[in-house]
Amino acid sequence: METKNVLVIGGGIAGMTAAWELAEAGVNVHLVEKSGFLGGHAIQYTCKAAAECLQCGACSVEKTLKNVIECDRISVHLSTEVETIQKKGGYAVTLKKSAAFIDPAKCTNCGVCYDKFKDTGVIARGFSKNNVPLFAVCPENLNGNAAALQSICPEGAISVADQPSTSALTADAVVLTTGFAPFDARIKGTYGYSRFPNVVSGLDLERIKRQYGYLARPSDGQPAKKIAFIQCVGSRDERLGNLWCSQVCCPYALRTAASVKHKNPDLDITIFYMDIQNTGKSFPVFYETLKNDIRFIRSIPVDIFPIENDCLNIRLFDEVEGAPAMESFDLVVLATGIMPNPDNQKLSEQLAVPLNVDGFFKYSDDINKTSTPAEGVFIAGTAQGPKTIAASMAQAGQAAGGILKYLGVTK
Amino acid sequence: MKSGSTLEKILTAGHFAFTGELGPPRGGNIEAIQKKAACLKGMVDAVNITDNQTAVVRMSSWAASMFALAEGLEPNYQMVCRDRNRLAMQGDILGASAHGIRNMLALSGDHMQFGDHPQSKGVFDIDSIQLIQMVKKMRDEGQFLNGQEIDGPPKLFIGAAANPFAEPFEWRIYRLAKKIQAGADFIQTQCVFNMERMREWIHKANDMGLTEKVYILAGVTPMKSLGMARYMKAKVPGMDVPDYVIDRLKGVEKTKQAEEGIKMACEQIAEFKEMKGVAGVHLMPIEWEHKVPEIAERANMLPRPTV
Repeated sequence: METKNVLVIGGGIAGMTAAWELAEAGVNVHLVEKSGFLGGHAIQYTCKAAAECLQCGACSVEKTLKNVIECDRISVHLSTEVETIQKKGGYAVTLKKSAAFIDPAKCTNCGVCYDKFKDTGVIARGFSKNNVPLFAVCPENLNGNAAALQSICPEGAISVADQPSTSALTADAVVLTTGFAPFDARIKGTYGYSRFPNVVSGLDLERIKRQYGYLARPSDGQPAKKIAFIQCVGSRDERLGNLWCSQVCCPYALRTAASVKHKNPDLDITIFYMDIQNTGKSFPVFYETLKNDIRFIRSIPVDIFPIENDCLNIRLFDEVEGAPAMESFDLVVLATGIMPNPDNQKLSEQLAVPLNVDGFFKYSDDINKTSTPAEGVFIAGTAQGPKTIAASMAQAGQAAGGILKYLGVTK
Repeated sequence: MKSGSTLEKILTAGHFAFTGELGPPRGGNIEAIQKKAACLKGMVDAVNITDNQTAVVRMSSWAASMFALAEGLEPNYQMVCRDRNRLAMQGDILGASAHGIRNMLALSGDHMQFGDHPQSKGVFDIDSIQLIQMVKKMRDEGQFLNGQEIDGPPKLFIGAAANPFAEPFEWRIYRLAKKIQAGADFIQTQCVFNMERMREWIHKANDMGLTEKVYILAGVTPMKSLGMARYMKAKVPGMDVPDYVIDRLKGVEKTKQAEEGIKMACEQIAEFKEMKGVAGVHLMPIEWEHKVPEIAERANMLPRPTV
């Protein structure tokens, strides 16, 4: 039987898992990723282990990424987008690759370029050392730095003259794993995100933990002592029209709280919530135990005001007192929700795969959430709707299984 | 929701509310309204439209409220008991609500003696507390004051004024309690300058459980100059301007007094945010609407919540 080709659109955890599963079954995979790095949002999260592993799934992203990079049957197309895609027997696809500037064959991930240009925004750093190159050039910030950048690389891997290019391929099937867009917390204006330095999003917190090794306040780098997590920022919000639960923010906040509290028992942590979502296996025990260490307040705060020393006053409606209440914290973490990827719209039109009312890809069969009405097109991961790393991987596995059947590789 | 007004939604969600004021022009000058409205838009949650303020004739408050609505502001329609009997009042209330006005502030009104037509007849058919009661009856029971049924009751968030500074001070809190009993949903206080007295008053309101029943917005007026502070202390009835306010303005050069006034207002707002029982601030810059954006920004009141 001739070797089949599958196009996977989106190189996050769902796309990488689907690609790996398909390749293992002997299928050739083209994995297309818009950014310069594999791993999507999932790779940006750090391990949440406390005394024992809390099953956050962050480490499985790294492992999957390594598998994908080392696999000969997977062609990874970074900084690349699908320009056109048409059903012609299989699918005729044209890819548009942005100028990459860094030659992966020459780059050794030494980091000289990143260290020198850190403050200019010219070089972005990825999250996994398995990603070669670990760095990417941001062309929008290149102005004026081009010549200096090219000459700084000891390996001669940087070529600022690199131009965008297009290429064509045919695929027998397509997997849509375009992932999600994190909610822009600036839309919830009264929280002061991007105006008050110590109001951060969950993803910001991950970056802070990487950079400092502890929960530092962005304003002064000092360790935060009293921390608030605000849940449901952007999701389950009637006014924004985002009625869905993002499903990952509760597990994220609970595991993060458990993990940092384990490392530093002196931390004073409060989680403001509307109701706590299941975090996975052993959730009831985990949640009950956590209540001893972490304060849970059932109310979503409404206003955040800055006070002295870049601390923050949180104003909320206290449901027990039936009156507004105010409390101060020195770091506030907004658990921002999962929003549909804005690129879904274009792909939906190109492939005639409808979106649901929320903007995620709509599955066509209630008992198989990877299914679409378009022949040979499957969906997986948060492109279909909010889910955790583990659930994204499971769905990607299911999509891969569906494709193998569709292609006749398995029965 | 009693009225569905933005102010009601903001207060019930627990946000710290911020309201402003717009005095209608002495004539049909719509541009004057539009100009003031432009300074207030996006800066405050609702705007009080005054009703023949200080007993001086101006464009009627419901008509100016309609212009405010057209400019994208949420009006807080003021009505005084001085100029209308209960027939006119009920008629205006129905009309205002039918036009989409959703907040109203029930007031007694400054005496005619202070105004530009001192020989006019004061109506005072009912007083401010009875007016509150009447609007509540119209809204919640769907009945006129005489008990007859209303075809389409008004939907209004009912406000009342409170002056913590008039004498006798001990009685002020009971007058607040009466207004709440009558049906006030929110209270806007007289301009606060004497912070000690305000703290004492709100403390009493907390003790009596009044702040659980009503949203209190503290009145803040920035002083534009030492002259204004002296004038308010000496000439404006019901104002309590302590000497330390005067002294602080005296302490800076004349050109910097306005800046000092704004600074003081921002300090007050910061304290009100943390004061238990205070649900928001009512900003009343007297003919200083163009300073509202600056004050809102410096007092960390922006952006206003969308509800």
